[in-house]
Amino acid sequence: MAVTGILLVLFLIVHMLGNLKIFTGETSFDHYAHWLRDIGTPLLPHTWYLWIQRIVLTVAVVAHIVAATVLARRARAARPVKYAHRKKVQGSYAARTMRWGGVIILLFVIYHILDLTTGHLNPQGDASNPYGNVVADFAPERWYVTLFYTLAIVTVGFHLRHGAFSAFRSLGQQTPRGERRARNAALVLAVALCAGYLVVPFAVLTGLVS
Amino acid sequence: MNLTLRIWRQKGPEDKGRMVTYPVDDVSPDMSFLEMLDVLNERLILAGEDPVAFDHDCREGICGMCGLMINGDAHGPQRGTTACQLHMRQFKDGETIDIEPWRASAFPVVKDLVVNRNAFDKIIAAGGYITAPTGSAPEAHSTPVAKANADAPSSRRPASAAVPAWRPARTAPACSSPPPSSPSSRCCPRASRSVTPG
Amino acid sequence: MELFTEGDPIADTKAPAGPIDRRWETRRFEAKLVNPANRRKMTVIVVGTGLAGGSAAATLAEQGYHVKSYCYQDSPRRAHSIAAQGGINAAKNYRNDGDSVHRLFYDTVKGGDFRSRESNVHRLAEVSVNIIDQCVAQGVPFAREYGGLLDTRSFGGAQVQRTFYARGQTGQQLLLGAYQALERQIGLGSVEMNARHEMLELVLVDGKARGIVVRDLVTGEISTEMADAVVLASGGYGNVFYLSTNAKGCNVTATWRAHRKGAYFANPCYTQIHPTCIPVSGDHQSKLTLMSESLRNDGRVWVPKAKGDDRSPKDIPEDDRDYYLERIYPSFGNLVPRDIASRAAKNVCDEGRGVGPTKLGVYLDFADAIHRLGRKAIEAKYGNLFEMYERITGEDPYEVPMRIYPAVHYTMGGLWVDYDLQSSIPGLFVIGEANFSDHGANRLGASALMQGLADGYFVLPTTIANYLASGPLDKVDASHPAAVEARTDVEDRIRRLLAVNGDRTVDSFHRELGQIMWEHCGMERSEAGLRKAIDEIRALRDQFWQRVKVSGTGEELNQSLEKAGRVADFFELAELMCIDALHREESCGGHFRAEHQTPDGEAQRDDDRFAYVAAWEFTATGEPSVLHKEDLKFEYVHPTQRSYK
Repeated sequence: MAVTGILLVLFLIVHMLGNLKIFTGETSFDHYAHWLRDIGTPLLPHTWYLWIQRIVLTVAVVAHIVAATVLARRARAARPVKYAHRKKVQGSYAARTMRWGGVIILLFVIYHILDLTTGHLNPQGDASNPYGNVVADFAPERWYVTLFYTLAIVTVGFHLRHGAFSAFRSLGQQTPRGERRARNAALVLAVALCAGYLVVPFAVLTGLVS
Repeated sequence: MNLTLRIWRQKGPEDKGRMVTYPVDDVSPDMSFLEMLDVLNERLILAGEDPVAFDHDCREGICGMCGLMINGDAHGPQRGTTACQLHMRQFKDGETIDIEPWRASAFPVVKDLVVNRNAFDKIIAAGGYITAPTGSAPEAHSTPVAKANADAPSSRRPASAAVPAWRPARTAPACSSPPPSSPSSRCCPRASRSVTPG
Repeated sequence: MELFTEGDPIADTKAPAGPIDRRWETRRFEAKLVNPANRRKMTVIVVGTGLAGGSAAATLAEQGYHVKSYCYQDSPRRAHSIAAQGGINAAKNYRNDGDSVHRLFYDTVKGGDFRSRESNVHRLAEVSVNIIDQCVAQGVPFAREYGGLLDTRSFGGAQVQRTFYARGQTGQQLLLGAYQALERQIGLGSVEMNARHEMLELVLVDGKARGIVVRDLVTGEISTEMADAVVLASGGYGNVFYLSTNAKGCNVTATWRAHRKGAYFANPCYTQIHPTCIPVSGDHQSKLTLMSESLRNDGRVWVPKAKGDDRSPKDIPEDDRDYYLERIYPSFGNLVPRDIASRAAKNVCDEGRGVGPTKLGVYLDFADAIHRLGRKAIEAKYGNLFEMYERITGEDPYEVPMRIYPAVHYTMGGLWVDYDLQSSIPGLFVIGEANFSDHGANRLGASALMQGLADGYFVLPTTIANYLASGPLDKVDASHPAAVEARTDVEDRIRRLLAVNGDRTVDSFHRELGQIMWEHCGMERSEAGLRKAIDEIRALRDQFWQRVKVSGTGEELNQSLEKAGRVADFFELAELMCIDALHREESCGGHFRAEHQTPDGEAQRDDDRFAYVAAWEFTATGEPSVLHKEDLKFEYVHPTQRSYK
């Protein structure tokens, strides 16, 4: 879980930095988007790098889900008979919503790909003009899309806050002091990513980017 | 005090088991939790019913034999207190108390509240020991141990600080010099000791 | 009818003659050895997994014997050795304060009120130094000085600091050490561990101990286990008093069954009573909790001067308080030895001046110490004890004086053994609290752990070889007629217990037996009281077999059946304890006869008539036991009268 999670987090960071390029203007952003398809050329043919990355990410997502399922099943098998008197589970909101939060994030990712990668669900859907797609997507009259994006990103934030901390532990962190550090690092990471992702739709919504 | 107990009754490992309700009255607040169960059992025996089986031994908070889940808490609501030292004054008159065995597939229920915890012993037998056959020990003072390490309760000691007694603390690197007597001494200490009140 | 008859005197034939400090070495050299190749063909049964049994099983297995180990708890690490708080004595002389093997020997013989065997005690003192080395090597976290060396503290009955300790949990740490050594052998396959098994009978073949009958406490299955020798390490019998500081499961069954098969029971009346326990709070009380004796260093013991003074302790002015220990024993005050403090508490309570809801308690007041040293200092010293007290009583000892009362703590008596720790049955060895050997009439603080480990790690593994080397013994299995008979006896007895189906619970009988014993065979005994007790015990025992109600069947986990078997044996032991106490017309150590005291109320020994070990031989149920005397000779420590005024 930790290793696949870290792969996905690294992608999220790069993806966020790419998104922020929207503030540098339409030409620059579109150029960036097209450049993504040319990474590795001429060593690799056009879009090959992107496909390699997509495959790696898909494998990571699948492995992440498989690992989660295996762990959940193992946890259930460890206590076949449930307690009749069950106390509220100890732990933060983030910890308790890992499973369902993960499902919500998966659904969001599918929507997100159909929206801004393939363009099927985008009002403009012009592959040559990603900047326009984004602006059209988060237009003020489509406020519900912005709301859905916001909810999904916050869910990602919660998932990361607990997930990153758990990953540190899975990878061998075990001292009390290290645990405090891991907790803080996870919180900072989650807040920074959330902020970085949300700033784009809200910039479009408020007309800062148009 | 008058209480309503809901207790897990299970005849044997294969039985399905269920929660059964028992009203208990005239409970003194000075009774320990296990003494309250004793009172219930005496009444059950005289009524010709099967008394509730539960594990207990020292009843002074150190042997680790008792281990009930009381209202969903291991050993009940009082922190740092085993069920045998938990007293009924921690509960309110008229309260309903749920009593269950510890539940985990590695520790199957034997009967009622009695659980088989042999798995712990298997862990120790598999290597949770320091190899020091009788008679092979060097003079006790030949290896000092820092006072801080000797005094620290294991619960508050990070795993890295729990050193085998023979390792000169602070000065020598880990596992640098096992005494000649125990060539196969392991680097890790034995499983952490339980913390007990008193 | 006579209560007992007197048989031939007995003697320990195993201790070599010669200077006392050479005897153990001589014995070790003269004892026969078993060829390592033959050891794995020999099986030794060890009953009990406390400090003595656990260390013996581990060490015998290390030597190459095949060991079968039994305990009634769910794991060997639960044994009641775990509850010992204070520490373990050893003559290391790390303090350079004049300690030596000879001084530990001297203190132990004197502390035992000159009723122990010199050779045994000297060996104990010699071996004590090896125990500390052994435990340190196992990783036992003994307290340390700032320099990293082992710390020691002083303990009752000694003027040197020779007690090693691990916080207030020395017993637990030592037991975990022995336990891990045992588990190592279990993992290696040399020890076959049988937890949740209770020994219910000893099997004798041709007069030799060759096996035991055990009941699997989970399934109820009865099985017969055969071996070349049997070691009992089943602890003491303090639970005959129902309320004691022993664990609830502690019982006399293993040793009593052996006694019924011919092993002599020595000095059953020697009982140690601990003065600082939390008092009984009501009829529901199932167990008494000990608080460290160190509390008496700073607490002052008192009761109201007037009978029936029901005021809260805060409202009783100084003038109306009787600090009776300081009054009667001005030089030792609150620090008089255990037995004296206990008896004094009983006396004031008998006068009707006891405190607390049951009137069986005295105050232990820290107000002065808190005033003098500050609350912080008291917290640092006794914080955990105060917490425990508050948890149990619900009272805050920083505000209200503690209430304390004496409780049965340890039994010095046990099966008679010779220098080799072999009982009067060949092949039956008895170690730890279960034997009688080293503490005489009174055990010093921090000596129980020392004796258990000395027997288990160092003494028994040497001496048992001498017995095993005399073989080979005939091959026998569970189908031997003697084994079958023992097994049938066990099954019959269980059937009888279940068949009574009366109207009283086992606990109600046990509680009543305990009251009789506490009243008449407790801190102070008298001829009239003991005779009354014997009659009452016999009457109650008859009632037991007619009216006890044991629920369930024998083929399941049945805790009420387990208790019934143990209490049935306690009845027989209780009678022998009273007879032993009655016949010993003197006061010594843990045995105080009201008729035998000095004018100022101290114990008065009678060395001319009673400087012997009373070893009792069982004849038949209801028939008088036979008394065998083993005379005690004191060549190195000369008996003196003790005084603490």
